[in-house]
Amino acid sequence: MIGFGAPWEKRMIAVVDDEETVRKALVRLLQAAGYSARGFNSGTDLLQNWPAYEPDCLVLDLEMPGLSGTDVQRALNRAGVHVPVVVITAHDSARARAECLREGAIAYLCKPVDERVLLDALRLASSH
Amino acid sequence: MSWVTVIYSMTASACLMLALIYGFIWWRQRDAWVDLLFALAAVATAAVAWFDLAILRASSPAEMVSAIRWLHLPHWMLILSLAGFVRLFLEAGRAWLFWTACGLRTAAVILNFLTGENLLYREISSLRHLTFLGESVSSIGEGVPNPWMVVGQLAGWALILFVVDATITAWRRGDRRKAVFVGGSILFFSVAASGQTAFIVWGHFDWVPTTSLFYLGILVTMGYEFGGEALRAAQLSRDLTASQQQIALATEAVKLGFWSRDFEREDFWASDIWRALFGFTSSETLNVDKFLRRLHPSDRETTRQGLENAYQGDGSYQSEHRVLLPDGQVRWLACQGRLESKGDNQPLRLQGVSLDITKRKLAEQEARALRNEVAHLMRVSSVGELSSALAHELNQPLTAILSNAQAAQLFLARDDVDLEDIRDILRDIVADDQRAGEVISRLRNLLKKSEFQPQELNANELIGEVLKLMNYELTAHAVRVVTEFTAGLPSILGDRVQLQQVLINLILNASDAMSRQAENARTLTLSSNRVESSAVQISVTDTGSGLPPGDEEKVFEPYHTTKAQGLGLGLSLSRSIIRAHDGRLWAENHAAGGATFHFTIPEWERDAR
Repeated sequence: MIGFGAPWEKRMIAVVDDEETVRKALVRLLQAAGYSARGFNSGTDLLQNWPAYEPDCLVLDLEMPGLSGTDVQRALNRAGVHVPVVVITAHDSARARAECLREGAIAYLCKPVDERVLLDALRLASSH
Repeated sequence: MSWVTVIYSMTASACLMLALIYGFIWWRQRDAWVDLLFALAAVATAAVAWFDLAILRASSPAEMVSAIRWLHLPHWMLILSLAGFVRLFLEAGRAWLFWTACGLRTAAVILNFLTGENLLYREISSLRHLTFLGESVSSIGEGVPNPWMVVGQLAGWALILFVVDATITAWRRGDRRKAVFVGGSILFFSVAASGQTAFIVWGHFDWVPTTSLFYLGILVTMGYEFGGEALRAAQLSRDLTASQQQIALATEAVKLGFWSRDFEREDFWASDIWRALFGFTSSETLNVDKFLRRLHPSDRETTRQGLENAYQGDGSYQSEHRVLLPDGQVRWLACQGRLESKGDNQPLRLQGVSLDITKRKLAEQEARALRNEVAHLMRVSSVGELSSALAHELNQPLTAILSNAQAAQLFLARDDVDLEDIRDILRDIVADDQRAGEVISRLRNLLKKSEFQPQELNANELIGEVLKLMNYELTAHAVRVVTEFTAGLPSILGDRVQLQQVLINLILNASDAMSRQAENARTLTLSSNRVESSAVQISVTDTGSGLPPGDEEKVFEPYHTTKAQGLGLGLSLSRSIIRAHDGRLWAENHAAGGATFHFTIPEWERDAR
C-alpha cells in the first residue's frame, strides 16, 4: 500500500481537527502510509506554530469552534502562504464546498474518509 | 240565655279543643314532650274554667269552699305544665327557679287540703250576690283569709321569676319572637290573674273570679306562636321533601351512589344506585370485605389504605378505583366520604358517595394515547431538525474507526509489525464504536413509541444527556452554553424521553430565538433549583430578542408560532407533557432582552411509590 511515489511519503502533513479521536486516527493512518503527520486541535493551534512548523500539505476539518477550516484557509492566503489544503467535513453542503474550493482547496472530502480517496488527494497535492 | 254560662263553657271548650289537638300530636310523636305539656296546660285551664263557673254558681258557703278547694288541683297542674313548657320550648330558664316554682305550688296544693277550708280562706261564713254580665252571681261575703295563702303567692312569684329569667335568656340568644309571645304573655296574664285574686281575697276589689279567662289568654297567645312553629316545621318538612326529591333526581341523573358504614352497629348500608354500580343486588347484605373483594386486585390495597387513613387522619376519604363486576366488566368509580366521630374521637360513621367515572377515565386514556402519539410525531420532527447534528455525531466516530482500521491494515502489511500499535488502534476502534452506539441508542430512545413511564430521574443528568445530544447543534449555531446546576437535588418523578423532548424543544426554540444576535451574544443558560412545593425547577434562558410583550401565555396556545416553518405545537405539547407530570411550564420575558422558560417537576417520593 505504501508508495505513492517518493519523495511525498516523507513530506510533512498537518492534520487540523478539534475532535481528538478523529485527529489521532488520521495522523495514525497517514503515518502508516509513510507520511510524517502531526495533529493540531484547532486552526489557532496550527497558526501559532507557523512558520516554525511549515507542513507540505494540510488536512483541514471544516467545522471547528473558533476558527473554521475556511477561516484558516483565508488566514493563510492573506499571509501569502500557498500550501495545498485537503478539506474534510462531516457536513457536506454545496455552499461550503464552493467556498473551500474558491479559497484554493485541492480536495473537498466527506467524513468518513476512505484511505484511498485521502491518499489520492494527497498525491494530487504533491503535483501542486 | 246566660252569658256567664256561655263564656265559661266556651272557654272550657276552646281549651279542651286545644288539648285534643296537641294531645293527638303528642300521641303520634311520643318524644314531643312540649306538645304534651301544652295539652296538659289546656286541660288544666278547662278545669279551672269549670271551677270558676262553680264558684259563680255557688248557692251556699259550703259549695263555695269546696269549689275553691278543688280549683287548686287544676291550678297546680297548669302551673307545672306552663313551667315545663317554657323550659322545653324556650330551652332556657334556671333549673333551681323551675324546681322552686313547682315545689312551692305543690306545697300550696298540700296546704290547700290540710289547712283551713282551702288555701285562700280558713272559713267562709256568708256569700253575697253581684251582678255580672247581666245576671246575679255569687261572691264571697265574709270570710277569714288563710295565712298559708302566702305559699301560693310565693309559688306565683317564683314562676314569674323563672319565666322572666327564661325570657331574657331566649331574647339574648336571638329567639326574640318566642320570648315575646311565650314569656311576655305568661308574665302579663299571670301578674294580672295574681293581682285580681289578691284584691278579691283581701277584700279590696269587688270582682268575680275570671282566672280561667286570663289563662285562656296565655294559651291562645302561646298557641299562636307554638302553632306557627308547627307551621314552620311543616314548611321545612315540605322543603326537605322537595330537596330530597331534587337530590334523588340529581343522584339518579348522574348515577350517584350513597353509602354509609356505621361502626357502632357494625352495619354497612348503601343505596340501590351504589349497589348497582358495584354489581350487588338490593337485598344482599354488605360489609367492607365484600366491598374490597369487588375491587380490581391492583386497587384493593390503596383503597384499604385510603379508608385506614380516613380513620386515623383528618377523617376525609377520597379514592378512585376500578370495580370488577361479576360479568367481567370493569368500571371506574370515584368515591368521596367523611368520617363522623364521637367526642372521644371514636369513629361513629363513615359515609359518602360513589360516582361512575368510567367514561372520563376512558377519555383520559384516549387523550393520553393521543398525546403520546403527538409527542412521538414531534420527537420525530425534532430528530429531523437535529439530523445534521446527529449525522455529525455519528460521522465523527465512524471517521475515526475507518481511519484506524485502515491504518491497522497498512501497519499489518509491513514486515516489522508493532503489535502494541495494533492494540492501541483496536482499543480506539472499540471506544469509537461504543460512542457511535450511544448516539444511536439516544436516537432510538427518542424515536421509539412508548407509554408514559414515570421513573426516578436526576434533573442534572437529564439536562446533561440532552446537551450531549445537542452539542453539535449548539456549537454549529455558535451558542455558548452555561449550566448552573444546584448540587444534591432530590430525584424527580418523570418520563425520561418525554422530559428530554421538552428540553430539546425549549433549547431549539432558544437557539432559534438567538439566531439574529451577534455570535458572541448567544448564551444559553440551563439551571436547576429546588422549589418550595417539593419540586425541582428547570429553567432555560436565552439572550435572544425575547417574546412579544403580552405573549407569555399565548406562546403555549396550539398553532401559535413565530417560525416560518413551525407548526406551533411544540410549546403546547411541552406544557401538556409537563402537566401530565403534575408540573407547571411558563415563560418569562427579561427587561434586558431574552426569555426564560421554567418548568417544575414534582420530587420523587420513595414512600409514594
